[in-house]
Amino acid sequence: MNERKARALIDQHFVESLSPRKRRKLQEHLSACEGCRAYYDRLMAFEQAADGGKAEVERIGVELFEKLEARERKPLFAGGFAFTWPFPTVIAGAAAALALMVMVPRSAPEDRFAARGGPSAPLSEQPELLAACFMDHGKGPEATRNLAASAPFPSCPRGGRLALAYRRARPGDRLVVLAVRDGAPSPLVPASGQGGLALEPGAGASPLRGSFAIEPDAPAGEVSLVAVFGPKVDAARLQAALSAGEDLRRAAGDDGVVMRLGYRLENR
Amino acid sequence: MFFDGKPELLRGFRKGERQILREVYVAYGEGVYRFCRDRLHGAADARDLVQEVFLTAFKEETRLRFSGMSSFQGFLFGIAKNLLLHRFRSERIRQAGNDRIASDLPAEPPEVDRKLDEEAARKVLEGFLAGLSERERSFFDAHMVTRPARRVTAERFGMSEDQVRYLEKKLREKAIAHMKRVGYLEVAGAELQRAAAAVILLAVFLPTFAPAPEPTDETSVRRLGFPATAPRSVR
Repeated sequence: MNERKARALIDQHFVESLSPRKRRKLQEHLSACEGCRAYYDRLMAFEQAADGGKAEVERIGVELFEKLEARERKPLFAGGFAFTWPFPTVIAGAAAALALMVMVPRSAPEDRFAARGGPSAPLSEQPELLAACFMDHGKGPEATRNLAASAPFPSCPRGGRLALAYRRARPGDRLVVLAVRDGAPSPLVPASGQGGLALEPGAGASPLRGSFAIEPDAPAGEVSLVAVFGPKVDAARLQAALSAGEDLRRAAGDDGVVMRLGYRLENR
Repeated sequence: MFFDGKPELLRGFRKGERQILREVYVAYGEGVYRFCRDRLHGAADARDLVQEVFLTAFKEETRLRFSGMSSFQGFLFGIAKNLLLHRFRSERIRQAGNDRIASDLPAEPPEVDRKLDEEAARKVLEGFLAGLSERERSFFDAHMVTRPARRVTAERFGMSEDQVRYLEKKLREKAIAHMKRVGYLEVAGAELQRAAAAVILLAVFLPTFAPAPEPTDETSVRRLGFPATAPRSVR
């Protein structure tokens, strides 16, 4: 970020609140740029002369509680990954979504994982989950790998991120994604609630907003993402069915489509 | 005192209940901010430290350390002092690494500078307020000085909360425009300094490459240290 942009953000910070992402960018810049820090200090001195610093204390409070909430956000399972919102950077998000759309092979999910969406629906017309993991150092995604429907699963980096997308969603389709490690499923999409995430119908790939941070201390092993598309999907029911080792196709309903993608975390 | 005679508040704090942590912040945020601001070089540094103080105070192990037997203010400001000392020490170590003598570093920024900054800000504020309409001025005093909830200002001025938000935004934009107009925000950054340095370098070296112009009579006279024109008679 150059000084002109940073000062525009400082002005915006003074006029109205900044989004968490912009605030983070500004803080990074301020920690390294004395000129902009002086500019910020002058604006705040003006504000302090008017309100004794009350408005700045309010802003600090907003940010403080956002940080507290982020800290307390529990990982989905110990050593697993946690939802983060939004993407760390717009570039990373856009590039990861692009990578998902372009790089994921257009093969249909394997039969063993796919429940037919009715006898007449060919696999090429079924909805599909796309997923990629990547590292993000703030300069866009690096080492992007697409998750695979069958072994060998790609190796994903600890401390990296997972981005999800879907394509060929049918009208009325909803999506539930469960993460399964050592046979224990945890809801990934939606993060809470019973029903699935409503999808936009269409053939093209649509990235899901947000990403999932893979915990830096996640244990080694394979993780499966089980995606269930359908008009009547129920996350809790699917999770219970998966835990009990029942047939997911039955739990997904008549029009349900089930598919799996996997990745692995290597030994340290 | 915040927790005195309120065991349920203390219990909630120790448990980390969000609403009570918010109340703690509302009660002490301003004081901690003033404390940090008075001891650091600017608002940006103070902002970071305030967050650090409360993030530390709200950590589970810190919360559980507060028994309620002593003053919470003392507890909180103790954290602030420790963090401040830690920061100064780190700064000293960094400076010592730059061949500076650690003990030379002032523990606090010069009081005079801060007073001058405050005085300058106050004058700019006065100029800004003088340019406001009566209605804007009364809104500014009622909402932007005492910072009540938007709902309170909205009721007082017969507006909606959105209108209050909009008016505050407009006044803040106006304040920035005023500060820029009077040159209060003219702070040279590194990029501007680099640009200025480039201009100076050009100014220094360009004449060595360009042919020097023939001096006119006037410049010759000036070079000798005499005025170009004879002084007028005083009489």
